[in-house]
Amino acid sequence: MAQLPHQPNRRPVANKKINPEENQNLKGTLVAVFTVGFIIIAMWVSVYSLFLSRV
Amino acid sequence: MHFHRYEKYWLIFGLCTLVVFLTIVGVNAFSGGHQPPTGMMTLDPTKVDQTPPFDQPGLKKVDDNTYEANLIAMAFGYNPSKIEVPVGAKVIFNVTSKDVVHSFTIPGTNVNMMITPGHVNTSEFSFDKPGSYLVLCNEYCGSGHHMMQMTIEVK
Repeated sequence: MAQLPHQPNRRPVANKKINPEENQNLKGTLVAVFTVGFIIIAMWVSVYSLFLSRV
Repeated sequence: MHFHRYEKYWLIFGLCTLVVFLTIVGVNAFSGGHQPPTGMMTLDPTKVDQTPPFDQPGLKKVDDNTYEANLIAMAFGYNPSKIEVPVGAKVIFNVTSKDVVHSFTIPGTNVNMMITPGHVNTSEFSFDKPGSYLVLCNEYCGSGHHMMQMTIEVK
């Protein structure tokens, strides 16, 4: 296709790094992993306190 | 290496919990003497009846409030099958097996150890409440495994 004289040829900018990860919304993932983490902590605390109560 | 901001939060959180868990367990292991059942003594499993202290299995008084219970586990029972200790006594269990792998478990307590032939496993417990304590084998040891038990009478 012929280029119009007032429109320069557009090429992707190579020197600017775009990190797609930073733009993703990972809030749900963060909440999910922290939920699992707190469940693990709760289980650990309950099992360890059961052990201590029987010492 | 690039990490997402949230991934950094999660890694720091994970590392901190690991440090906290290990510190609590480590400090209690030394200050409270918490350790898994352990024993270094070995013996010939075919000569259990001739090897002291298992040539005279049973309860032995160590001092005022401490007893040593030298017990033999076998298919499908313990020798002796009943011991009596006074309330408040601390009992050190030394248990070995004559045949296959058994266990020595007092439900509701922290006494739960594997009994391997050729080895003596040791655990201790203070019986502060009177009653009849059941001892069970929780390692499948054969067709009579479910019958394998003994009792500890605390009076």
